[in-house]
Amino acid sequence: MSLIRDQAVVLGRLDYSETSQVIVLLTREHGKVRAIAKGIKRGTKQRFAAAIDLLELGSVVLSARQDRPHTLANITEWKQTRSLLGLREKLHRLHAGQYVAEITAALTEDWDPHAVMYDALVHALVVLGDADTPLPAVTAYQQKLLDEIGSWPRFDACVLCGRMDELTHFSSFEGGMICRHCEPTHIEKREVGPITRAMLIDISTTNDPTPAFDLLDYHISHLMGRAPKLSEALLTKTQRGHVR
Amino acid sequence: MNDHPIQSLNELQTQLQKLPGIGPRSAERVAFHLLRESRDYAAQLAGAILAIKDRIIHCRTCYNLTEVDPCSICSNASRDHGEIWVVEQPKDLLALEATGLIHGVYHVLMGHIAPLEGVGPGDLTIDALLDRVRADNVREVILALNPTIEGDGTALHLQSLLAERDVRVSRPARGLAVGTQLEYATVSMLESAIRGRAPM
Repeated sequence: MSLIRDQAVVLGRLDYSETSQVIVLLTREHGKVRAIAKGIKRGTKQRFAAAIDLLELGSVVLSARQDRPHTLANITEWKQTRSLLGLREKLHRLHAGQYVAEITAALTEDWDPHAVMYDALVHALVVLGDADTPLPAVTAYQQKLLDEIGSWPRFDACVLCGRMDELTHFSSFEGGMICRHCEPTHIEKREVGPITRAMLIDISTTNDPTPAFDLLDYHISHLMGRAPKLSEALLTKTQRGHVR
Repeated sequence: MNDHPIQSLNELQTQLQKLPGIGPRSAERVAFHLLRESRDYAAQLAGAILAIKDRIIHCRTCYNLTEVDPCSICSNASRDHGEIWVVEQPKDLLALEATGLIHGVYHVLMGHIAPLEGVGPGDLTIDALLDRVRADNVREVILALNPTIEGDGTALHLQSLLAERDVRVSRPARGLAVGTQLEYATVSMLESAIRGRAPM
């Protein structure tokens, strides 16, 4: 058993017993960690403060055996370091915060550190806490997450033949754009317009990233094996699938 | 797994272990305690357990637990029926009622919206609350939900639904807990307390 001190974001929590919870954390230096917080619901342990809530940022002390990644770590201390009350003021901010937590938990491996992703997640949550529209921050985080886990698709050329023109479709399975000539042989594909593709090549230039979010959410759904539960809350079915 | 050769004792221990906070050792202790007690006591205990299953229902107005419908709070004419305190669970209602400060009535949602756990607005008693607000000439709805992400999300959802109606929507103050020390308060508690500070 070793003691680990790290910064962390709470990605999820579920009841383990009457008084304990299993908390899913994204730590900066140690990646995603599942840990048990014994007695957390009793509310009498000052080393836990009052509770550990979803999307909370804090410093954590864990006792863990990293050589046994499938066993739960123990949370021995938790101190909230930053308040994100702004997230709780608007429903769309809360939905967006839960969406980024959900896709992070689903697409990362335990004990696989991604400091850049951690920083991007914290940045996304901070920005969302004051955001009028959530999609710019969420789309920027989608990009960073996919880049960090090595699943950022190729948008500048056909992933099958290398052509750089007539790129009309996107295939999540193939990992990027496919051209008009390669597209007929593929079942899993989605038509993508030039505006969306340009947006995804340089995501920082766009004010309305709706089509980019839509396509990346489609890609993330394929990687997760299901659609994120908060997808629909951020973009309704009628707002999806428009070719631009 | 219980390893007593007596089957009825094994069965009792198995059932006791399904109770929250009861492990194999506790189940064994309780089973042997019941074995030592009189038959009358065992019959009273079994009767009490069956009674809560047979008699307790949800009030059709507020969804509180009750033996008579409507419950004693909803049928009390001296309560202020224009003021509805919305809570997540019947246990929360009991906690508020224990203060002796609530003169209004309640509405129990029977949970909170938790999208990550697959719980949506349709799984709660939100429609019944909106019907009450529409029909009962309600002046104020107080959203006394847990200050968690899910509780706050549920409150925001209700706030958006109630905004279309001529009703005041509020929530209890939040921040520092009475009797605690500032140095042990979390950043969120302090921020809530600072933002919501009240004149003295």
